[in-house]
Amino acid sequence: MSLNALPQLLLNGFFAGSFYAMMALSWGLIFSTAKIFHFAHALVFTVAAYGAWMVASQGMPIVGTFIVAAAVGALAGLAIDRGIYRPLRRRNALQLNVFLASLGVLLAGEAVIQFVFGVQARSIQGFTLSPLRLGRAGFTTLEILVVVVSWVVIGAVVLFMRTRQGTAIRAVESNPELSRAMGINDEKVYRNVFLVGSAMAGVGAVLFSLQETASPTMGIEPLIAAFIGAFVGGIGSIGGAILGGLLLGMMENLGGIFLPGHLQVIVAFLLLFIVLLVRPVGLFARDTKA
Amino acid sequence: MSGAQPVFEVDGLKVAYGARDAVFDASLRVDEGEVVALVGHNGAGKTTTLKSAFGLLAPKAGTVRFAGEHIVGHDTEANVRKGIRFVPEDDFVFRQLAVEDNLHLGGFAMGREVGRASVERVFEEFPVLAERRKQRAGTLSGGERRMLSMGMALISEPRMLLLDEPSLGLAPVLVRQVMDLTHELAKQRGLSVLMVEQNIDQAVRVADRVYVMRAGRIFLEETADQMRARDDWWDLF
Ligand SMILES: Nc1ncnc2c1ncn2[C@@H]1O[C@H](COP(=O)(O)OP(=O)(O)OP(=O)(O)O)[C@@H](O)[C@H]1O
Ligand SMILES: [Mg+2]
Repeated sequence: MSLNALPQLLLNGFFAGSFYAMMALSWGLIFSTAKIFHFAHALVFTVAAYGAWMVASQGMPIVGTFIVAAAVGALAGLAIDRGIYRPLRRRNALQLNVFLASLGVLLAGEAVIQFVFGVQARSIQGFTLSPLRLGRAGFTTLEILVVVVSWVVIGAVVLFMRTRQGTAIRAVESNPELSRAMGINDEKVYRNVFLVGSAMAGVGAVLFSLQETASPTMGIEPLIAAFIGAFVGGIGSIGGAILGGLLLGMMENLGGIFLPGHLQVIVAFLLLFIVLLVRPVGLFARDTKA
Repeated sequence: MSGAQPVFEVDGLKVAYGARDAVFDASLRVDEGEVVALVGHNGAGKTTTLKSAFGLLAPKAGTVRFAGEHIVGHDTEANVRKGIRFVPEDDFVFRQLAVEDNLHLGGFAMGREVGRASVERVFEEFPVLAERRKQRAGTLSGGERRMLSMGMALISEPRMLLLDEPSLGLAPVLVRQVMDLTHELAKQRGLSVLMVEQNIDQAVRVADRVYVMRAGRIFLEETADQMRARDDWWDLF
């Protein structure tokens, strides 16, 4: 592909990156606070997408579909924390074991979804798409929707993190032991991060299903983008997760200059690998403990 | 001192880390407005005693009473709300967070009634913190961080302070300052203080009574006057 495609690739990168930024923030919030490699975030995503598909196919307007998906996502995330992670936490389970449990929940949940809804892909109705142009680059109203919704959600979460409850999340994230000494109830904090992070995944699931389709295994790809974005940007840094996700989207698309489309995932892993080698704390995280 | 109500009473406390016992039998009391020091060599079990008395560790046996009420098995949120505060020996501020946020977090367990007004009250008391309210706590000097940790505890207007080595890592002049503050809190505001210390000179200077701990047991209780009258303390360790 030639450099003539550059404006288009940059634009596509921004669209994808906006969605990744939201997903990286949602996953990174849970990982850095609850210290769980929450693989089952992919299941939350999928469950919310099916919830959205069910109401949308009954004629729910798109705004309502987003709200339902956020609520279904939040409840699914909370259920996984309460049903799976909390019992393990109480037994001081090793992080690796919690990770394995998370993976298990994802596989089991996908099987259940496949059993109930079948393997066929479902698409969410309710948004009419029309093409737009910006100079030599073309895009659609759907991509505008993705960008606007992603950044509104990101903005809302950034503001939330400055509230009382958000400050408590940052406290548990940076020093769980001291949080307990301060009398901060960590279970409430975990509940809040799962609710917020999972509601974000629910919104993301609608955006994803509008562009592609809902299917039982749909959650894996955005999950991978989410944690690569979070690690590349820097775990524990809100700005890092956002910029990490954005960078990932840009790099994947700019990789299109050299690589055919479905090899873009190589760029993602290359980016992750280089960051882990050169700057393991993440590109946008503060380097010191100070 | 004597004759006053015991505010805080620990009786027969036994604590283990897994299968390994760390504290075998700790009993102590703190009266209202009293400063009590708990001293002993490294690894004696002082921190363990303090943490389990506060609810950060579950003891195997023993009772802890605050204002006559049993508090073992209560969580730290409940104990903070009752008026007990614990300041750890290290990592006692949220380094990544602003000074202001640290103070809000100090009052978090109290709910919304401890809010901005309380934060301003702490700033009046510690003006050095007020100048640095937006600064990340990790960038404060050691002394400022220590003051912040005291502010985080005092913001909820507690009755009982559990301080784990408040002089650790401070220059001598700051050690005196922290000890004087502790003394003032007890004598002027009626707070009761249980303080673990390695700096025995300074602790004994402001304390009313002293407990000495060795290998998981409290084996000696003396008044601060008795301690001061000793030639040296080496035989205690
Ligand atoms: N988390 C833990 N896991 C296992 N053992 C522990 C733990 N914390 C403390 N211990 C052990 O319990 C014993 C008492 O430790 P503690 O921290 O209470 O001592 P301390 O008197 O506070 O010592 P220092 O003056 O050095 O702070 C020590 O032998 C220590 O190794
Ligand atoms: Mg100690």
